[in-house]
Amino acid sequence: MERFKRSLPVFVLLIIFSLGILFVQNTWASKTLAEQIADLKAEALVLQKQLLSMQNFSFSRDLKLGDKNEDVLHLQKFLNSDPETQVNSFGPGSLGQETNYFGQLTFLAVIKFQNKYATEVLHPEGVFSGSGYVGALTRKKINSLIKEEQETSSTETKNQVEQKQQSILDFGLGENLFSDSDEILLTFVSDYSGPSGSNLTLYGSGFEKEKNVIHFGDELEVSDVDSSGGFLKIDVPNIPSGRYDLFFSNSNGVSNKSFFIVTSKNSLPPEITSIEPAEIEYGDEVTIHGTNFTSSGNELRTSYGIISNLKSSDGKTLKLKVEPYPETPDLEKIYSRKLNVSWPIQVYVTNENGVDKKGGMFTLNL
Amino acid sequence: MKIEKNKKKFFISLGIIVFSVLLSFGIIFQSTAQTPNIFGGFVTISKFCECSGNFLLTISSPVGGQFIYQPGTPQFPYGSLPRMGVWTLGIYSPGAVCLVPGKPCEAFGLPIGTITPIVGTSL
Repeated sequence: MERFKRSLPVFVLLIIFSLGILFVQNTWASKTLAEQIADLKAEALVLQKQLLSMQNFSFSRDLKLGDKNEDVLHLQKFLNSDPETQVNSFGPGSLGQETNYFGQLTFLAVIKFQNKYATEVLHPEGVFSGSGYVGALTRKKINSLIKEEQETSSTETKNQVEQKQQSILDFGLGENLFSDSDEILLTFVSDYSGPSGSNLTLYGSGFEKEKNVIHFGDELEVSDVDSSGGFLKIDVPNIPSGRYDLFFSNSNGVSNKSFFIVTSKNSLPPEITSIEPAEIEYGDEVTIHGTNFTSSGNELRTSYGIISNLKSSDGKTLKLKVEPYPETPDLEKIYSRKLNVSWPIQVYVTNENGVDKKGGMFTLNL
Repeated sequence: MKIEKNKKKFFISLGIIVFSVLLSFGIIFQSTAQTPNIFGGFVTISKFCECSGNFLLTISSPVGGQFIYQPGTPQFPYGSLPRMGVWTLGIYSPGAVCLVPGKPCEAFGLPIGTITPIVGTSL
């Protein structure tokens, strides 16, 4: 008894230190995640710069406080691609929320840019402090920087950039966020189509270490799937081609449904090559050009709605009229107002041949 | 003499225990302070804010809430926002407002942040 009493503090100390070590590990994990986020932000800046250069934009007119036009939008995007000249850290004008209005924040960001490149932008004019006015020399410098970016990133195609974006998403956030939840959720899948035998990863939460079942529709399933983290990995089983509801189950219950299209080995997935016109207004019709569209049963998944059962008489064109869909019922309200907002709409085609990997885009002017 | 020695041992042990506990709490606080503004869940409601020209998205668990999506904000594939019925995951900036018609306009909902370009969606 006396011995036990004597050793008790040692046991307590051991427990406390063990807990401390656990917390330290937790902190290291958090730091790693925080570092990842910082890396992602930096990566996003680089991507913004690259995407801007890919648009082949150059500034051809002077810009000043109070201006409201498309060039201002590009100017803000350009300024935001450099951490030293960012227009705003959050809210309107910040990265991804650039506007077409040249306000006070843009004015100050331009001054920062001019001061940074004073030797080329200010000194030749005999000026030593930024004015906030985007004149000939400032434009020349901006255009040269965009051109430099074009040259350095010329080896990297748009597709590669998009792949990089996807990997950022996969790497940075997916597992960390959802795997902590106890809910039975199927959130993302690595692919929405592929032939039998191709790799498929299901992300989500509520996975068990073993004996998870992945369902392809109500009748076909892959049993005894192990999970070592926030995902399940399988090879698509040898099942007839077609579109299946995809979900998983285990002793905790049944997940929500996604979908997966099993394609035949020889089929080529649909691909959008261009969309005309590039800019439209609400109610207009767009023509989607591409390959491997089916005569019927094409589905468009866009930023504002899912449009099913589209027909293509030649396998190369699809026509779409932009109108409200149940997924964004308020679109009608947008139409009734003039907002001066350009809304890039992403479009992906799916059909029995698979899912478009690249997608297309048009701009809806509101 | 022996009692004195035991007392000394006891206080040293107590000191180490208190120090360990405080250290652990310190680590917890530090860990919380570093939590980035990550959100992720299922888009259950997408409402257009007519005055502010943006969308108020209600996103379900696991890390949900109300967020503002500004039309034009770049997205990773599959770029489905602000469509309802998709899974989304990303980073938000604190500070957001949804303005709807009132007299003349009034705030609607309780958005906790604005979605940044670091956002991806399901198809």
